[in-house]
Amino acid sequence: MTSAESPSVDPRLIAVGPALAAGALVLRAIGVPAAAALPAVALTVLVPGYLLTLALVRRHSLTSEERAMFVIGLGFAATILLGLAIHLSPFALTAWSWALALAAVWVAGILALRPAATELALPTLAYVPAANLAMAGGGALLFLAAFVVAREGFHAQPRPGFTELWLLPSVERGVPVVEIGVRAAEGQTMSYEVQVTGAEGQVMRMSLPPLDHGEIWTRTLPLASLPTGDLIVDLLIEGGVYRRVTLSGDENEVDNVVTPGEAPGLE
Amino acid sequence: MNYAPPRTLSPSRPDESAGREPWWSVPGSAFALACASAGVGSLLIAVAFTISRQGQWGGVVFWIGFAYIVVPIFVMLCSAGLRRGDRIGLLLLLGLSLFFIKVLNDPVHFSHYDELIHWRTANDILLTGALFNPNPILSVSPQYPGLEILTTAIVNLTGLSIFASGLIVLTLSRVLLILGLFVFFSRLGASERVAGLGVAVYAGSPGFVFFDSQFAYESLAIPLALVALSLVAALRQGRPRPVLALTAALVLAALVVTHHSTSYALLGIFGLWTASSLVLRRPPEETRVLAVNTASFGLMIVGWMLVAAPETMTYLWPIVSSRTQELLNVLTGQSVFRPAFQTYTGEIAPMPERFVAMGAALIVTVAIGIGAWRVYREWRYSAAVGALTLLALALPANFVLRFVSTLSEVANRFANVAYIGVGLVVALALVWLLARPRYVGRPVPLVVAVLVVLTAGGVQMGWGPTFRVMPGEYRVSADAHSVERQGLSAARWAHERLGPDNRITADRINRLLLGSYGRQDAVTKTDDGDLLSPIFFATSLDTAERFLIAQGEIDYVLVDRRLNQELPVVGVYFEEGELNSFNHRIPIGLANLNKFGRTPQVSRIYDGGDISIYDVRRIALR
Repeated sequence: MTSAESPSVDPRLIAVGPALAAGALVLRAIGVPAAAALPAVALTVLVPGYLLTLALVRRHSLTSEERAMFVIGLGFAATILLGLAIHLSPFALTAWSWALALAAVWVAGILALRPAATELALPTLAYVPAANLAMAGGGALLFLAAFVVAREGFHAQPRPGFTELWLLPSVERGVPVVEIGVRAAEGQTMSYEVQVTGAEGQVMRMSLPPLDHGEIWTRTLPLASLPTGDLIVDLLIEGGVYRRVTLSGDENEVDNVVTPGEAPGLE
Repeated sequence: MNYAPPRTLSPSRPDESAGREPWWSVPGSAFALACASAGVGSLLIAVAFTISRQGQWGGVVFWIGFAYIVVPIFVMLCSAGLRRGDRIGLLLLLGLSLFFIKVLNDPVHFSHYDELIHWRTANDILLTGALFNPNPILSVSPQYPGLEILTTAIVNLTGLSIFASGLIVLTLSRVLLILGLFVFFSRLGASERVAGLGVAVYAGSPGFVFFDSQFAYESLAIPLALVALSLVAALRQGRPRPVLALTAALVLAALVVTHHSTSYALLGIFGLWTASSLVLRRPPEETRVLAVNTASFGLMIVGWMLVAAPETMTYLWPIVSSRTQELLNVLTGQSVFRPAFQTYTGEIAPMPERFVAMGAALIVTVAIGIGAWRVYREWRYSAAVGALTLLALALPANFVLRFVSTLSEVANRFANVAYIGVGLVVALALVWLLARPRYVGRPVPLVVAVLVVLTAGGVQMGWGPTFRVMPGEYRVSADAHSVERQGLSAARWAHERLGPDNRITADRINRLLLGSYGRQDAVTKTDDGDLLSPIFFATSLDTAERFLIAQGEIDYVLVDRRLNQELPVVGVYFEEGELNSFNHRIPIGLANLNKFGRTPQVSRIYDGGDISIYDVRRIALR
């Protein structure tokens, strides 16, 4: 089909790609990602695939399953290569770059292909009796129910509770400190005590406020307030040691603190 | 497409159901019934998984649910009178329902080994806005980012999680796989029924239910390969088709960017196809198109490796050489065959499951023989069918590879590609059987039984016995069974409190969690390739272990005391090549794991119960 024979392009058709991009971005921005999935999938897979399939259909007759295969397959292929192109461009792979690039692909593709209305017509579906539709719909509901059961089963799986205790040296405003932290994940509210022990014996012992499942307690202590030498921090439940962390003597010298992420070089 | 319609690959005699009007000839009837049945099956499987998560045995319910999904579909696919739309609908239902089993197994997050590798790659793309970020768990993964590009595009445009977006991509990939198989078989001249049964046979490949349903590059690459095969099948005939050639090049380029092994496998198929075309003296134009396609695809692969994926050979070569060496060891008697149907923990698959797996191997071998004979009788001049038959004939040898410990995974990967040929060849055998009721009495139940055994056997061969398929309590070094709250929590703690990219070593599973959710530089080897596992197996941290820690520039060591509970399910605690790799007789000692707490200058900075993290930077200085 030459351009002289081409029909004029309906502006509404040109607007489809940008509208899908805008729709996805707006739905994302207002916090409904599930609703954004529809325009986003249409944009990332169907838009480039549809355009390429349209170009193929003009020269070759395709069955309906071939069209469906090419829309998805060519859509995947084109989007993968478009991602590479964005990576090689000065732009980062972000929501905006994807939206602009895919909308531009649509506009350019439609202007180049100038599809006629007949080419855009959806295939007519065979009449399907209502009983069959109802049965298939029931099947779809069962799939949904299966997913809900599987998720509930996952969350209801018995898992042993646990509590995390940590002891991290760091530097705050130039002052060497240690952070003692506790995170409860026992599935119930827990009462703990923390006991700090140095070479000379117990340094301090404190009761923690009750911690719910997932709750965190932390306390930062200046290192200078603690004795030198090995330091042991125990988390106690009803007086018994439940968790233990340690700081080796070398680490516990004020001038010798190595903070996380600052590994000393190898000698 | 504008080429002479190929000769139809169908039985020379009409089958017994031809001419009848089965009740499912009403539009949508077959699909509706199968959809309802598959829905019941999926619900039963979800219940089975839930029972299993509660510590009870859900295996029987699982297999009943499985039968609800596949049996009605297989029965109807045997009919020649099925409407085309219904047949394709049934095939899509089959593919998606079996994919859904994997979703029901992991309904909240990705938890399989390969999935977390690709999750890390996708997450890095989201964080940096760029491709090719280093991945400490599998360095080659970011160099084949096709799956992650698609997934992160959807994440970016929707705000959905990587898990949800990944499921969308995987669902569409499964649709593409089914359509690709059907279209490719049809393009080669298969009748609707042969093409449909070919897809059903492919569902019996070892990776169909679980491995190729994972969030991993092969799950996307095989469907893309099938689109490429369909395009080349159309391209080879008649006059030049520039648009078609460009489209094929586009798909092949995307495949090259997506997965190395599938690209090589497809290159091999193209090579076989070209060679068959030469041997069969096909029209020169056809052979030329195939040769040009094969050569240009080979150049694309090499070009990508040189320009963007230099790690490929570093990654693949050790695998190829070690597997070859092990095979040679077995063949020369220096090593022994792995006991069949037995895990590395010594658990043996139940007798019925062993029968199903062996039955599947036997049936598919016999069916390939019958199908190959049919190809020779009726289709010996088709280069494509000849190439696929050769591919199918390699499958029985593949079964032998399963008895060599590290080759079983390679065998599965090869089988997932070989089944493209197996699907067509076995379908020809099945249709031949359906046309001969006087030989076998009632051919439809027989064919349905064969297909059920093939699909159930595929699950067994690809993913192991049912007790490995079912979710449940924590197991040691057992991939998804080892991914649980303590490990996830420790990984997240490391990210939040230690910051990203610390050098940290751990067992196989915790390294995976630290490298993905923890965003740590989680390693099991030094940069020189020396394994770090000796520091775990040693009874104390002496000079050699301290040297390894220094050489590996290790900041932290994560120790999971649960490793002492049992032997590693996948054969290794840390990394292939470790002490007693794939041959552990007793669990790693608790004293070996606890030694870090007794070592001067080592601080235990984190205690989560079973999991501890030690700061070893001081001893690395020595």
